Amino acid sequence: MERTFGRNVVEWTLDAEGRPVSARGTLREVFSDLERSSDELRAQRQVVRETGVEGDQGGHLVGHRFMGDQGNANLFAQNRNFNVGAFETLENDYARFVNNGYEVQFSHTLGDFSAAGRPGSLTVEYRAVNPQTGEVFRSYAQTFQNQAGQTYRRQYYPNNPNRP
Amino acid sequence: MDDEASGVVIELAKELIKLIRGIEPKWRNAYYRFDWEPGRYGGTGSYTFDSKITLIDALTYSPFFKSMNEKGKKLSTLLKEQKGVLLLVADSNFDYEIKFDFKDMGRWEISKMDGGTGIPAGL
Repeated sequence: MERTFGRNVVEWTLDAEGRPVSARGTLREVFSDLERSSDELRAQRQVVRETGVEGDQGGHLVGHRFMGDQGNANLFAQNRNFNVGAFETLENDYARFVNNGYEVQFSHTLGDFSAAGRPGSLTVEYRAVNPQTGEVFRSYAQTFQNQAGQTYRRQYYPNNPNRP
Repeated sequence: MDDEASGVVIELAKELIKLIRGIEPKWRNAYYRFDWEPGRYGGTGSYTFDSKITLIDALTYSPFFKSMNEKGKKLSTLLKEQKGVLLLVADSNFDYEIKFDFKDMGRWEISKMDGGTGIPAGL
C-alpha cells in the first residue's frame, strides 16, 4: 500500500489483518502541528487492546508528523518508553534532516512478532541525502527491541556546514 | 579475546572486504563501526578510493548491515560487555585492525554531518 502525504511518499507492507510489517519511503516535509482525528486515536487504542501488553501505546511506524492519520496500516503496539524516548529522538533527527534541506529515505521493519501480533523488535535503516547531488551524508542501520530502556544517539545538529 | 571472538572478528573483516571490493575494485580503506547498548545495536560504514570518501548505504546494502550487525551483536556477547563501540579498519592489502571503546559511545562516528568527512571521527 503506497500513500503520499504532501511531498512524502511511503509504501507499507501489511499482514493479513491489515497491520504493518514494514514501511519504506522518502520524507521531504515535516507537518509539526497536525492534530489526530478521533478515528486515528481510536485505532491507536485498538491496536494496543488487540495486540499490546501493559505499558504499550499505539505507536506510528512512520511518525505522525510525516504522514498524518493513516489508521491501522501505520500503527503497532509499541512500548511507551521506547515510543517517547529513543524512537522520538530518531524522528526528531529525521525532522531536522528534512528541515535543513536533506531528503530522508528509510526502511522500518517490524520483527519477532508474538502470537498476538505484537512486534518484539524494530529494525531501522536510513540515509540522509542531499537531493541536489544525491550524496549520502548519513546512513545507519539499527535494531531496537520493543521495550523500555532503548537509546538512539542524536545525529544531526543545526550548525552543519555541509547542509544542502 | 578468545578463539571464538577472534573468529567473529575475522568473519567481520572478510565480509567488509568482500563488500567493498564488489562496490569499488580500486578501494583503499574501509571502515565499519558497530555500537551496542542493552537491547539495541547498530552499524555504519564508509570506504575510500582516490580522494573520495563514500558512506556505505544502509538501504542499498541492507543484507550486509543485517549480517554484520548480527555478528557485531554476537561479538559483544562473547566479550561480555554491556555497551561499547567497535571499529573495524581494513585496507586493500587485506590487512585489518579492530578497536574497542567501552566507555565513549560517541567514539569514531562515521558521518558527513556536522563537518564529518566520512572517515571515523578522530581516527
